[in-house]
Amino acid sequence: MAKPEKFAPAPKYGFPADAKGFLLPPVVWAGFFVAIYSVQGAGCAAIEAGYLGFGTLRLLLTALTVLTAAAILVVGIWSGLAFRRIRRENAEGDDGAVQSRFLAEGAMLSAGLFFVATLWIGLPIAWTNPCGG
Amino acid sequence: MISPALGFAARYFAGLVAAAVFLSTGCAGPQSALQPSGAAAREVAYLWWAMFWAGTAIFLLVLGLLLYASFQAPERRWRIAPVKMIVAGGVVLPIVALSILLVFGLRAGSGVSADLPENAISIRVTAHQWWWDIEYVDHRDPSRNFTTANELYLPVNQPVELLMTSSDVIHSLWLPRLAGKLDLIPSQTNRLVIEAEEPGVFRGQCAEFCGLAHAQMAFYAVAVPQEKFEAWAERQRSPATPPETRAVHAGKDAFDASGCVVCHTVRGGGAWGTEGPDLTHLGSRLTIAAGTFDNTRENVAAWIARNDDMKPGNKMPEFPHLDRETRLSIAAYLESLQ
Amino acid sequence: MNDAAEKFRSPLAAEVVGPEAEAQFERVWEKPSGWRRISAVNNSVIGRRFILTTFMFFLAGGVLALLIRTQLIVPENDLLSTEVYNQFFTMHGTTMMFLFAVPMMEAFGVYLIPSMIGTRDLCFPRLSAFGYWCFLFGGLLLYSSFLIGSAPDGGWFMYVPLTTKEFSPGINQDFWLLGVTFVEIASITGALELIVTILRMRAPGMSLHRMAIFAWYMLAVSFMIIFGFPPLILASILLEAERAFGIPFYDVTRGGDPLLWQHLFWIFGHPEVYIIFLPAAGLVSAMLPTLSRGPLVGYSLLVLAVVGTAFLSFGLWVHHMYATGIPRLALSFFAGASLAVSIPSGIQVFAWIATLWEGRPLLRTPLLFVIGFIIIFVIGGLTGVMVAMVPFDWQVHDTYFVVAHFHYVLIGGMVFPLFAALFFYLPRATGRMLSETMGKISFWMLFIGFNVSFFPMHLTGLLGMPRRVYTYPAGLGWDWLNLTSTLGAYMFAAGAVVFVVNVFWHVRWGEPAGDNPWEAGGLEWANPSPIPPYNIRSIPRVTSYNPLWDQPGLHDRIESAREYLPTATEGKREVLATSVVGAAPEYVLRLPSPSFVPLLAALATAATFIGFLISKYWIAAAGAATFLLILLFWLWEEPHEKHEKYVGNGLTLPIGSGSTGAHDWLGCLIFIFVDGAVFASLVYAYFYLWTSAAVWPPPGFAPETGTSAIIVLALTVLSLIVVGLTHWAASHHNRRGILLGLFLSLPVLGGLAYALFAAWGELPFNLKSHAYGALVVFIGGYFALHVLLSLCSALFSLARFFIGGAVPHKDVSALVFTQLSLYSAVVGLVAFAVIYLSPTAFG
Repeated sequence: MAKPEKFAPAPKYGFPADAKGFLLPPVVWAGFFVAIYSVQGAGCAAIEAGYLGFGTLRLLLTALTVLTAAAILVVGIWSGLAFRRIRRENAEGDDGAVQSRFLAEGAMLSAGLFFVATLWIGLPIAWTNPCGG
Repeated sequence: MISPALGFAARYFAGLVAAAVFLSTGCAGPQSALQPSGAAAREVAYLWWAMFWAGTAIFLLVLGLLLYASFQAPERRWRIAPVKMIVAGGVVLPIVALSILLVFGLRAGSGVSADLPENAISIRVTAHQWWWDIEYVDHRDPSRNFTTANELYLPVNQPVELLMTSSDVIHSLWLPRLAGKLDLIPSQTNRLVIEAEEPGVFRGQCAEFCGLAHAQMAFYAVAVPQEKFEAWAERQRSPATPPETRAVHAGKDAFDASGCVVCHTVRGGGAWGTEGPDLTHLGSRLTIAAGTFDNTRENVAAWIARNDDMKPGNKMPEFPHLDRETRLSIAAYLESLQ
Repeated sequence: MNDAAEKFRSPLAAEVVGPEAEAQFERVWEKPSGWRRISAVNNSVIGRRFILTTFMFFLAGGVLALLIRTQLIVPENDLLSTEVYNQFFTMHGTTMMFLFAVPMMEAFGVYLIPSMIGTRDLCFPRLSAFGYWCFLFGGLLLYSSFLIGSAPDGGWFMYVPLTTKEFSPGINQDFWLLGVTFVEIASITGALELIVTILRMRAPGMSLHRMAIFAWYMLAVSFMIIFGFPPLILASILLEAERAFGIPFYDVTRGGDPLLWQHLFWIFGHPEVYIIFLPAAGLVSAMLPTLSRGPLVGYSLLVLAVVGTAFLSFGLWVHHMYATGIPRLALSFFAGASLAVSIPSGIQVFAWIATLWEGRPLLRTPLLFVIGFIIIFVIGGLTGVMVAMVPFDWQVHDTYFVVAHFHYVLIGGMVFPLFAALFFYLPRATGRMLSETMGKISFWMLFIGFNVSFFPMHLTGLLGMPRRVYTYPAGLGWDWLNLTSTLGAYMFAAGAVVFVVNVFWHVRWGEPAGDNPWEAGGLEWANPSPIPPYNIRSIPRVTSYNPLWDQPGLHDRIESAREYLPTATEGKREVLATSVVGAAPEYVLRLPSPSFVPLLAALATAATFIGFLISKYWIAAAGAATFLLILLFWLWEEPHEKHEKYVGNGLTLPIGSGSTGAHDWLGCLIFIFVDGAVFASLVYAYFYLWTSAAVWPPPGFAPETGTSAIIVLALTVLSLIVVGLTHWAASHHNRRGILLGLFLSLPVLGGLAYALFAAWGELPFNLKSHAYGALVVFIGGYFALHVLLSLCSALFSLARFFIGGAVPHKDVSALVFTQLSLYSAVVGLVAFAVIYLSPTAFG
């Protein structure tokens, strides 16, 4: 009987160079999108009922955008550093390291995409009446 | 290898040139968004031309690269760093172009939700399957309110607000030469500010599919100078003109006797129905059947007898048993309601 | 790495498969013949049927399009009446979306994915067959409406109130609601098994970073279907409930809101556009390296583009609702997201150009279709950016500009890649090549016809022509534009006919294709053509993205059965289950043989839908009950006769798995995602109506937190404890603990069902008087349904352990129970919070 082949059972490196890190930026963005849509909707209802002012709502929405963008940026830089480290440490990359590098690269790239998406979504808060037509 | 590329490109460019030529000449039309006569429509038309030229430039760039990559002989191609090209074309280019578009594009045409002075003209539009009920509202003195249908009079260079809702299904009011469209939704009032910058007659149409006669749910906006508008409003406010001739009298009698009054209102004429359009000053309108037919005596008489052929699905009953004379006399009566 | 792997493949490592074993292998995987063919479950058979059926619907939808265009050829035309025109444009859109584009792309997934990732079938073959029958019956149900002249006529978007009983009293819209929901079952089952197959059944060594790119696309698309279709299914159920029983959800006189339909519809509808486009783009990415004789450039960027699109596409839905009067800022969020989604599209377009640039393009018909696709799609993408701009959209929304835009995106983005893919992959199914001459003729006719038809529509729309009008007056500048569009449509149709003729011709007279006619590098070509029912003779170790190019001799080793699982000595269909990220072999996964069960289950489902359609609810109930019985029979399986087996190349693996993460456990998890998305949509409906209501709950409607409600809460928490115990026992394969937990759960769940019933009785309102009450009952009822489902699952698991001879480390039924009842408890807690707590907390 032949000797069994070896397989890399899992990526060699942990977060953010793993499946969780790879999915973190879009998941954070999705949460942000739900939040900003709900806060805007509920906020305008609250303004109508007199519980909230326009300025407060605008501040809330801006803060939400800035915090999300910052969080995604941190994930992006973190995974970018992990990507460079994995590349440096594994010149001839074994399979496990290549998997990790791929996931870190993916996390870095998706952080970039969702960073831009967050900014574009939040930018119009600067000049738009939060509840007007 | 290079000749099919050229042939391909030539065919496509010829098409583009032809398209550009007709774009520059063929944009006018009674319902054209590219022949704006209102502030909101004009800003959007500018936005369109900016996006059109930028889009054309980007398209030509991508097309050029694509055809070059596909048809130029591999050994004669420029060397590129492929990933850098993806990043430049697929990431940097859209981010730069779209950031600019986002900042400028989203702000265009914001006048449609502008705040207006208190004395501004306010018009309540209620859509029905398949016509428009139009009520001019005086917020200070409700007794000066008056109702018309399927025709919107506007004073030139003065923003007016439309307060729009629907009595049945969702409709959408669209006057392309003045502004973009806004939906009329039951239980909800949407506000649209429009302004005509020049006198004229502008065609509008329902833009949201609303059932059988959706295609024939049009209307006209008539923009006139301020003093003409005031005169028009004053006349609309007054009750219907009483019949002056025998023929018109006969027409009114037939109108009353045939049951028209069940659905239509003629203020001062003893008709108070609300199912159909207000006919108090029908004679002053350009069209009948929601912008579908010219307002002539013949058309009105034909409409009474066989409106379902003329505008299939519409909710007015037909009166085929009325003879032509009676129908013409009813039409004469309606014509007299100036 | 490659060298190391190759070393393991010394000739010594290969065991020879004798003629007897060879014959047995062929027999095990044989397709049933004669009338028994309807019991086939292989992905290649189901995939082919699926592709053929969807293509038939494509032709039907095309005929409707030609009739529509003919009606519009001149102003004031009276070829079609307004009734007929409305039915035609509704059915054209419905057909192209639900009966052609989505199922066609899923059919390609069903047909190609297993062989692309080097396995022999999808993980739930009977589910594929069930999906196909649901699709066929649902499609026929929809089209049967023409027989009685009552086809749906409310538009493919079915906006309320136009489609409510008041404004559409006929049966037309019921055909749509029931038919489309029936068809969607197929989309969801297909998505579910594609996900599990892609995650768990890739060839050993095909880790995520070298997974066939089409599998990435289908994985993302399947997840989009899992989360995107449930909102529409829920919206349809609510509308059908309002139409059939008068339970209000959209009726404005009873607290409903017509915009609720639009939100739910477009939360489905926008991802759907990408559900159509992405697989087609995936086919392009899959074919392009072969067609340009070079590597696929920018693999990681493409993966990012796919995953990015999948997420972003859920943040776009309101851009179909810019004109409904939603506050400007809310519209801006969706405009921003709409711009963001063009970045992934840009990445893909430039990755394709770079791939062509780096290769030596093979200028054959499929590549022409790909080039045509890119040109058309780029135009559609640019106009897409334009309509994302709120003010511009206010002008062109619901006009022919938008008609032009989305036909550029959908025909350009999906039909052209489809023709490329058919041209490319048909030889694999038939063993013969299509005619290049006819192929090129059809390409030019389709390409020119398409542009002649749809390019002028941009202007038609800007000149003010709205959509969905059956006629238009002369003199508005639309006449010659419409004439041109109609002539272009005829040319496009003629091009499609040439393509169909080519397909018929090649089956008989095409050149023999040989095994790998395009000299491709992917595993889907590692088998003889026409393709055998087992897809791949032995399952290879993969060490590169293009295994056939980079692993010399691989094709021969696969064919001569020298890779994994070369035999079927136990007479069972077997494949390898591998790990999610690294694709390391974990266990042998046994697949079912041909079966009539899927067909019977689909027939029972059909009875349910037809019962609803004709308002004979006893038929519907009988159908549903029959379906449940069939389902229990379906899920019952015999224990394996041994625990492990030798799979070749020195490797011995367990047979089957009873742990979390096993393929059937994962399948159940994905089902829970679907279910959870339905529930989330229901909760969304509740809060949406709240924001648009003046007072919520309406006066006198607020339920009191009475005794039964407290008991429900207590029992839900208790059930969590019991489930936790069972889960602990099941993950430690502890038989006694499992049995104890299952037994304990029976009275808890039974009591919970009873308490829910009592709490229902305490509600202070009538189901039909207000949308608030209707939603409360539906949310509570949804929980009750899941309590009953958990109860069934517990009984089923007990039966497996007592009379089915199941052993804990080989049977996931207990883990499926814990998963399901944990989810059910979460539903219960959310329902409790929504019904009893939220009105006081935020009111």
